[in-house]
Amino acid sequence: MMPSRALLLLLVLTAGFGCSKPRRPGDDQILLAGSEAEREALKERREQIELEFERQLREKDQEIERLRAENQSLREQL
Amino acid sequence: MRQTSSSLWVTSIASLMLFAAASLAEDGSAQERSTLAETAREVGSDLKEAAQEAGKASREIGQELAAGAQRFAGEVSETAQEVWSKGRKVARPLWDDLSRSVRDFWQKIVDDKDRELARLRAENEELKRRLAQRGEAR
Repeated sequence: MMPSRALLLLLVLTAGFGCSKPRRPGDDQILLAGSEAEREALKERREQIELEFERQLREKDQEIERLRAENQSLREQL
Repeated sequence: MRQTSSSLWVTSIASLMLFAAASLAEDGSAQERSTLAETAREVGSDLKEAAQEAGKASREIGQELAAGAQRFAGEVSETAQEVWSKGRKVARPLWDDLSRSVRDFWQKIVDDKDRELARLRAENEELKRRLAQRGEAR
């Protein structure tokens, strides 16, 4: 009886971890906010910073894709 | 002759009266001018003070409005301990921690992409060099 309870507990814990939302940077600070307004302001701040990086990352991704395609073409020519 | 002397008398009296009237009129207008000038000076000084006070008040109101607008428009550090974002007060340590944490996270991804770009560029140059060597060999 005891091993099955332990197994059940293990299953519940595993399911709990599996269902937990993926953590995002800034989640810890948002959880510490003292009010809903403060939480919203912090979420907006996070989005604002992410937007700053988004354009930069998009440009880098495009350049990476271009170089990969060019290198593939060069390898085929060799 | 009698008529001539009486007409002369009348003319003299009239001249004297005109002179006196002109003097009085001149004195009156000078006094009036000085009174007007004093009044103007007083009014001017009052107006100047009022304008200065109004200017000071409008500057203060302007500063308050600007600060208020900034609070609502974006993020302004009010004190060392708090930040305003669109009218919402946020504890500065939380704000700074979040900013640092989010920036660090994304900066690591940017750095990874930069390393990948550097690797691909090096590979690209190497492939081009090998292709050029092969062309020369032929």
